[in-house]
Order: sequence, then C-alpha cells, then structure tokens
Amino acid sequence: MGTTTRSSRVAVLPLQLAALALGGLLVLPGAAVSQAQTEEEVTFARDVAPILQEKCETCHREGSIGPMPLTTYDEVRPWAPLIKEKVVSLVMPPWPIDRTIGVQRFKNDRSLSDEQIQTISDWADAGAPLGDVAELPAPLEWPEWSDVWRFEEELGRPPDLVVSSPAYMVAANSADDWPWLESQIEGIDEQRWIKAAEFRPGTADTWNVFHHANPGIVKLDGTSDGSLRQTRGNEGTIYADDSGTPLDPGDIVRWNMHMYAIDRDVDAVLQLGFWLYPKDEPPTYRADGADGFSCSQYTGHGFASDPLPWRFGPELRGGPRGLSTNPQVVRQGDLLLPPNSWATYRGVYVMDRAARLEIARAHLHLRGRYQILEAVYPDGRWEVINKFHFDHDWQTGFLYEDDAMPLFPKGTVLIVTGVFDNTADNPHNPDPDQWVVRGDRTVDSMCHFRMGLTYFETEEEFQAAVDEREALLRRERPVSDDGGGDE
Amino acid sequence: MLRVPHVLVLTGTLVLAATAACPSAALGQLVPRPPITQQDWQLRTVRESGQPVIPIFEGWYPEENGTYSLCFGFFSLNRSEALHIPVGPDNFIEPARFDGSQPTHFSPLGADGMTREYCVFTVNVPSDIADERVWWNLQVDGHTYRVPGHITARPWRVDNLVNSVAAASMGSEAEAPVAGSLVAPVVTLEGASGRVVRGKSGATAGELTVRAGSGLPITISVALPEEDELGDDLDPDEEGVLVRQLVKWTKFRGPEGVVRFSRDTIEFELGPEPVEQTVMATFREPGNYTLLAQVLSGSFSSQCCWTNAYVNVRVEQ
Repeated sequence: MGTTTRSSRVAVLPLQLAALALGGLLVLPGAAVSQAQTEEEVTFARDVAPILQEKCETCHREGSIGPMPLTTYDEVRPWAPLIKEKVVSLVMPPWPIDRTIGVQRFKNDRSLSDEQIQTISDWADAGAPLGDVAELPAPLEWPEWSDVWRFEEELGRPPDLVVSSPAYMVAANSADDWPWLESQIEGIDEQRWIKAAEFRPGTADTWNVFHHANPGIVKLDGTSDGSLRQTRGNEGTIYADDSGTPLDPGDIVRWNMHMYAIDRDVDAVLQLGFWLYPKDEPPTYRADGADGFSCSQYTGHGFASDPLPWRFGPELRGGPRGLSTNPQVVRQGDLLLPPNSWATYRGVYVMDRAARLEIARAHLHLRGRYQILEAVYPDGRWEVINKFHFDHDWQTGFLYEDDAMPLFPKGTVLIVTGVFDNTADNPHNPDPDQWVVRGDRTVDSMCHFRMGLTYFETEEEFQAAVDEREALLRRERPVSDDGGGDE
Repeated sequence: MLRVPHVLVLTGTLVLAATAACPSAALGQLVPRPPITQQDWQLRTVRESGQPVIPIFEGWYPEENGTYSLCFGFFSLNRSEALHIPVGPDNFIEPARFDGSQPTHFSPLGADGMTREYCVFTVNVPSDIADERVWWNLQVDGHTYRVPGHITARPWRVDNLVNSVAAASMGSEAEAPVAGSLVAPVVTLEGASGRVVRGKSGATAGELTVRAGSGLPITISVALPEEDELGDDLDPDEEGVLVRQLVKWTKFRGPEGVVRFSRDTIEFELGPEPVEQTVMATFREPGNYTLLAQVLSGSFSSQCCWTNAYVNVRVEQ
C-alpha cells in the first residue's frame, strides 16, 4: 500500500490556462508545489470512496448505465489510473462545459470540484491505497433503476406524476428511426403547473438505442408545448421557483423520439416524471422552453421557408415538423462539413422581449466539439454566457441556478458559434473522409441551440428582476468604503 | 465543366450557350487556391453562381441477390446556376469498374429550398466488397471534391423498399403509421417500355423521342405495392386510406442546358388504385438525355422510402 500527500495545487488543465491568462499565475510542478503539500495521507476509505458515492455510483453500479461498477475498493482499484485520467481531463463525471469562462452555477452540476479531482489524482499516483477500512463510508443502498429519479434530491420528493411511453421495439441493425408515439396523461382533474420534469429511459437497455426525444405536451386544441426537449445524457428541466408550464386534463405527451439500433433487438420505453406546483398556487411566469436557433442562419443557408420534406403531415413520418412559430428559428439550416477538417458555423438570435435564460443545451451530432453562447446587450456590452463542450453521449441541458440565470433585456443579440471536428482526431467520428451535411440521422449533422426562456410580460417586471439580482450581488460582494468592489 | 444560368434558361430570355467556366475559374488558374481546410467559409456559402457542387454519400443497403447498393447524392452551393460535368476526368467513380452511373447535370438549389439532391443514383457492389471504398470524384474549377461510399459502417445503413424500423412497430402499442407511407411505391413508366420499377436502385426506360423545342408528355403510373410485397411486418392499409406522394422530376444526364418541366414537383394522394401523373418536358438542345423521377412516400431526410425511375429521351433537331 502506498502513501501520498494531499496537495493544494490545482491540477485541472483548463484552470491552469486560465491562471496563465490572469498574469503568470500558472502553477507548475516543482519546489513550490512541494511546499504547499501537507503530510496528510490520501486513502480510498476516507477520501475517495465518499467522492465516488456522491458523484459516480449513480451510474457506476450494478444494473445502471456505467460500464463498470465502482462501489467497492476491489471494483475500483483496477481502474485507478483510468479514473484519474478521466477526472483530470474532465471527461468524467460528464459535465461538458468550459469551467474557465461564463456562468458556473447550475442546479444539476454533477462535476467534481477541483479539490476532489486533486484527491483522486493524488490517490491514483500513490498506488491507490485502501487506508483504514474503519473509515469507509457505509455502502449506499441504491434502489432499482425504475425507482431512481435524479431530481428527487433537489426537489425533496419523487415525482407527482409519471407518464410512460408505449413500448417500442428497435430492431437489431436497422436504420435510424423517429417513431411517432403518444401517451395520455392520467391523474389530473384540473389545471396544474409543472415545476420540473425529469426524463429517463424506462429500462437500462433503452439507453443503448436512445438518441434523443423532444417530448411535447399536446393540448386538446392540438397545440403543442415543446418545452421538454431532451437528449441522450440530459435529465430534464427544473424551472425557476416562479415559473412553470401548465398541464390540463386531457393533455397527452407526444414523445417525438429518435432511436438508433444496435446489434440486438431492444424494447425501448421512455418515462417522464412531473413535479407539480401545489393546487391553486400557479407560478408567476409561464416558461417557454422551446426557443432555439440555428447556427447557420448567418451563412446564407437559413433562408428556406417551407422545405420540402416538412410538407408531409404527421400521418406519414415524423409528425408536424413544420416551421417554428418563431420566425427566427430556421429548421432547414444547412450545414456542410468538409472531410478531414474543422468547420465553424454561427447563428444570431435577437431578443424581441426581455427574458431570463433558465436552461441551455447545445446540439451538434457526432462531429460537434463545442458551442459558444455570447450576448451583445443593447448598451453595447458583450460577454460570453458559456462555452458548451459537446459530447454526443452527454448532451446535457444546463439548468442555471435561479439567481444565476442570465437576464437578457429586449434587443439583446445572442450569438451561437458551433465548432465541428470532422477529422480522425474526433473519437466520435465514424468516417472523417465524408462530406457531412445537415440531416436528422446520427451520421448527419445539426447545429442548433436550445434555450429555456421565461419572458417577462413588462419592462417593469424585467427591471424588478434586474434590481433583485443586483441587490443579491451587493449582498454577496459588499461595496467597500472607497466605493470599489471587494475583488 | 460547364456552368448554366438556370433561372435565365427557364424564363427563355437567354439563348443557351456552352459558356466556359466563370471568371473566378480563370483567376484560379493564376492564383492557386488554398487547400479545402482554408476555404471553408467560401465553400459553405451559398451564392447565386460560381460555387461548387459537393458529392454526398447517403448510405448503403443490401439487395436481395446478396450484393449491396451504395447511394450517392449531391449538394449544390449555387442558387441559380446548374453545372454540367460530363463523365470523364472531371466526373468519375473509382475503382473504374463502378464508373458510369453518375449524373452529369447538377441542379441549383430548388426554389422550394431543397439544397440536397438525395440519392440520385446508386452503385451496385458485389457481396465480397468488404471494406473497399468506392469514391465519387467531381472536379469543379480545378478543385476536386470526392467522397467515399462503403458498407463498413452500420450508421449509414438505409432502408430501400420498406422503412423497416417503423414497420416493425406496427404491431406495438404505438399509434400505427399508415403502411403505405412506409414503402417505396411501384412506378410504371407509361408510354415508354412500360417498365415497372421500385426502390432507389431504379431502372431506366425508354427511349422516347421528341423534337427540340417541342413538349414531350411523360406519364408515370404510381401504385402501392401488392400485399405480398409489403414484407412480414406490414399489414395492408384499410381500403380508402390515402397516402401522400410526391414526384420530383430532374434532368439527370444529357447535353448542357436544363430541361424545362411543366412542374418540377407534383404532390398527390394515393389509394388502392394506381394514379397516373403526367409532366411536360421541353428540350432546347438535341441529344440524348436521361431524366430522373423520384417518387416519394416517406421523407428524403430520413432516407426512406422512394423509387428512382429514369427515362431516356432522344431529342432530334
């Protein structure tokens, strides 16, 4: 059993680069590091196991989606070098966002802290010592897959309502498909408002054939609320405490899913769990999570007003995939990615009303590397909201904390830049010699950006939100006597 | 390679002439262009004219005889200009034994916004093709654009006659789609050889004859497959259920210059009985042409299902 020490250095590369940008503060290995080290031993029992329980076991346990269980020392020890590699490179836990720029406070943040990464790294470097077994945390009792709702911890209770999709058999080695499924929502007899919605495969095997689904709530009058768009690796939506979407008796869930086959038949089932606001206590705002925009509007491709395939009705294939009611959302934003090359696309979206960004999600398909969301405000200020790394398997919807949700005044110009890597260096790329075009299939590509927006009814409401945010910031960062901030 | 101002030809205000490549091509001979990776912005930008056409590999599917078919389409970056690239050093498939089935006419973007021409031809490869790649090469203004087709990657597997996954769901709890919407229709080329064709691999009929400048009516009959052609997963639809269909006519091969169709696309509903659709094609230049009718019951973007029907036409002076 080896012995090591816990150091205070930060080993995460992106943060080192950020430090460099801040003026030569880059921490390098060497004497300075040694001076910062303490003599405390890092062990699996005391230091690593709690981290794995908190951030890893939900997937890495028997019956879940992780490729290997990581619940005991014997299970973890052989993987120690790989675990270090994955956590230091920020591949695992999957949290595909640049941690050095933009907003960093999210409700569903599953990433490790810098300290946790350092602990795992030091432990692996020291030969992955077990330590004192008396310090091992008690094993977690994980419920069956079908009983796990990730939002339960955040929201304090299981969902109030669960809707399952019809079973759908994805045949072995078949082509990509977009089945058209609907489910009646049972169990409500009056209008209720959705506080949160979690989306999950109904079985672990469903995960293997699930590309994405864009479930929407279809009203009796036939209108559809597409605010619940989901993807592989994305859990769902938690609205701000003052916003939500209505659910009425008679509503149905239209699943609008994209499945792709593997080498065996899979019976796929998807589920939506709804957390509801109390009766007679609707939220102040109605969230509109369906807005999004294409990366290719700016390049001259996004001009199509009625692309041919969409003319066909829902009874044929894929449903009413007509244009969005928002004229800025162009569905036929074409792409063309040259072989063995990188490519970038950019789209622009002008806020015609003041709004609050609650959820953000990139969507790029296999060649996607990242998307950058920027805002240029009406007063000329500009800032990067976030740089979203893209992993086809973990298309995360980032749920901003209520007091960190970006506020966009009317007239804000949002810019999204999509960056593609159609080279052999991209591990997801099935063939870098292909010209890649815009298409629904997994091997084709897309570039659009989904936003969960809540619009303010009046400028006064928006200003109130701004005032509240500024007051909060003042409390967190008290103004000093000389009038300057505390930085 | 010849460029043809598509819109002007259609309005008849310009006498067709075999114009040489655009000025940018001449400039390109003097100033070497940067490699593809450094000219992405230009490549991706759709312009009225002067842009290339990009070959696209759409996917592959197995044939009943154990061979495979590779599907190719193309992506034009020109809004108004059609390109004419004869089979030869600027338009060839390699290995050479697979050369010859590709188009020579490359339409500009359609007025309907369709930027892609999906699977306009197929290359049939033997069952032992293994991991060999079949490259379609196009040279435009001195630059080569090429793409490989192959059967090695499952994600490029496409359906041909029946949308297999959706068909497999017909017996599930899912809301059953209309069976006829999941199959490639049966197309009969009336007035030609009466040849019947179904699926993307297509077949060529003809030859029809017409004088230059005169209109040639071409009629196709479209029908849903017989029950025994639907496959094990599909039940025939109840009588009276209509399925929307689309016929899309394009020039596929022939002398430079476009062919004018009375209607480029025709939408109609199809029930148990075959439906005839007629288009009037007008040719300005004499020569031997091949026209392509794509008859669609699904969607191009999901790659299923449609039938490619080719018609040979000899245009006399």
